[in-house]
Amino acid sequence: MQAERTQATGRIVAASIEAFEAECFEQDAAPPLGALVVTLDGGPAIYAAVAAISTAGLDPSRPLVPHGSADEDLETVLARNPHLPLLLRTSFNARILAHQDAEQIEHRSPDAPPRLFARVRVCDDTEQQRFVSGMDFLEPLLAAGEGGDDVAAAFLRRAGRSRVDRAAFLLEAGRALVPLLSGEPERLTAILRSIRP
Amino acid sequence: MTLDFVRLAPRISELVEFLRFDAGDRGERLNQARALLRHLTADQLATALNQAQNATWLLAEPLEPLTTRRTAPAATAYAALGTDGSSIDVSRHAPAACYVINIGQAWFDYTRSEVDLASEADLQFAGGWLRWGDRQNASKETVVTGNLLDAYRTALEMLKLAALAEQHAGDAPIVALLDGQFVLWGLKESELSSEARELIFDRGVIYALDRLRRLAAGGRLVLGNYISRPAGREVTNSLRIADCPRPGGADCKDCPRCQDGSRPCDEVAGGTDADLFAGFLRQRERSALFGRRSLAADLGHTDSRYEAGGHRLRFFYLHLPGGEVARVELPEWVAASEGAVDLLHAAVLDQCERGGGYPLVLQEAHEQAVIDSAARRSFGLLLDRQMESSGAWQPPSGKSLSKRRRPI
Repeated sequence: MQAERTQATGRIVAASIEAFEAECFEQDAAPPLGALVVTLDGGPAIYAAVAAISTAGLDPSRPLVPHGSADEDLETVLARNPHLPLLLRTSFNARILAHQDAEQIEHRSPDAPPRLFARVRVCDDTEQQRFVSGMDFLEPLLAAGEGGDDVAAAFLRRAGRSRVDRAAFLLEAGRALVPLLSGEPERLTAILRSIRP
Repeated sequence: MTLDFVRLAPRISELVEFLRFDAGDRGERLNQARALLRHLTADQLATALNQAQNATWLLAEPLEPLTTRRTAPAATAYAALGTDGSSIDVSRHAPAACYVINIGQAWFDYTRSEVDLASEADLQFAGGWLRWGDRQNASKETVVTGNLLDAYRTALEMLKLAALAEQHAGDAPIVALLDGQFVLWGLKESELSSEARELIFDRGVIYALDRLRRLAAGGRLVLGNYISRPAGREVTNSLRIADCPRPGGADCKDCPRCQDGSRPCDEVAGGTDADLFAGFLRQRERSALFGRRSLAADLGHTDSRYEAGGHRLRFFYLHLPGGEVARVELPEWVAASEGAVDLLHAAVLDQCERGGGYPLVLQEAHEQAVIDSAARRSFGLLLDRQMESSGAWQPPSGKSLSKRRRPI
C-alpha cells in the first residue's frame, strides 16, 4: 500500500490558491474526472479533485493535423507514426479542496498555492474514505459554481464507490447538499440526479 | 510601424503584374531547355564543357543519361535518422561573450517502432572557443561568429549524425538525412585559421563523413542532404554552355551577344534546375545523378576539399507527389551503389509523404534544435540574473538598452 501511495502520476506546472495544473508522467494516464489527488512534496499535502483532463501537442505553437486515411484505425496510424506519442502531453486540472494541517485535514484553501514542480498522486481508497468521513469537503467542492457541478457529481460517485455503504454515503451527501444549495434548486436537482444510487 | 505601405502597395501590384508577364517568357525558355535536355547526348555535353572557357558558373556533369527519369523503387524497411542545429550567436551588446549551439536529433526505426527525439545544448565562452588561432601566423585569428559559427554548427550536426548512426547500426538500413547543402559554402579560405580548418573540416565534417562511409561500406547506411525548393542552377548552366553558338566552344569573355545585348544562352535559362525538372520528371521520379565542377578556382576549392577526402558531391532532383521538385545531395560513395541510391530515393519520398511535403525526420530534428525567440529571451534573462547575483553584472550597451526600452 505504501508503495502505491508514493506512485506519482504528474507534476505541477501551474498553481494558484484555488487550483493547479499537473502534467502527467505518462501520456493518457491522467486520473479520472472527480478523482481525489494529493501533492506528494513541496510542503503540507494539498488535496484536490480532478476537474479537467486534456491531451494536446507538447508545443502549443504546432498545430495537430489528422494522420492516416479514413480506412486506417488508430492502431495503424500510431504504428506508422511512432513518433506521435512523444510530441503529445496529457495534463489535468484539479480544484483544491483541502490541505493538511498537522494531523488534521482542513477543508478550505491552503495559505499558499502548491509548489510548482511538486509531484501529485491519486489518493487510495483508505485516504478517500478518510477525506469524506465528514461532509466538510462539500462546500469547497461546490465553490466553483454551476460550471463545476459535473466535477462535484463525479467526485461523489467515486467517493461512494470507495465505501462499503455506498448508498448510505450518497444519501447522506445528498442531504448535506440541500442546505448548501437551497437557493439554487436547479443545481441541487442536477447533482442529486447524477449521484442517484 | 514605419514601413510606408501606401507607397509599397502599388509597387507590389506592379511586381505581381511583372511576374505574370515574365512567366510566359520564362516558360518558353524552360521549354527550350527541356528540349535541349532531351536531345543532347552525354558526349556532346562533355565536349562542350571541356571546351568552355571563362565561365564562372557552377556546372553539372551527368553521371547517367541526361534523359534519366527513374521511377521510385518500392519502399523497403528502413530506419530514419536526422540531425539539425540552431545557435545563439555571440553579441557584443550582450553582457558576456558567449555562444550557444543546440543540436537536435530524431531517430525513427520503422522496423521496430522505436523512436528517439532529443537535443543537446552547449554553451561556449572561453577565449579559445571564441577565437581560433593559426599555427603558421600568430596574428591570424578566426572569430567564431556569423558564417563561421554556422559552419561549426554544421560540423557538430554531422558529428552527432555519425555518432548516432554508429550507435544505432543494426539490422535495418539507416537512411541518414541532413537539411541543406552537402558542401559547406560561404567560408573564405583565406580567412580560415588553421585551427578553424581543423575543427570544421579535419576533425568535423570530413571526419564525420569518414565514419559514415565506414558504415555505408557495410551496407548499413545511406546518407543524403535534402534541399527544399532548391535554387541550384548547375544543370541549366551546363545547358547554357552546350547551347552556345560560338565556334570552337563557349568563351564567356568572348560572348557572341545578340543585337539587343542579351546572351544567346539566355534562351535556355528560364529559371532554376528545379523549374527545369518540374516539367520533365513525373511525380515520384528522380533525375539523372550529377556531379559538379567549376571552371573558377574560387568556387572549386570547397568542393575540392571534399573530393580530396573521397567525398565528392553528387546530386539528383526529385519530383515530390505534392508538386515540389527537391534536390537530394549525396557523397560519391552512396552514389556508387545503385541499391543505395534507390533506397535514398524511396526513403526520401516516404519521409516527405509522412511529413506532408518535407522529410519527417528532418522536421522533428529541427523542432528539437530550434531556439525560438522566447528561449532566446529566457537565455538572456538567465545570464543577466546569474551575473547580477554573482556581482559580475555588466550594463547592456547603449544600443541594446535603447532597443529594449524604445523611449518616446
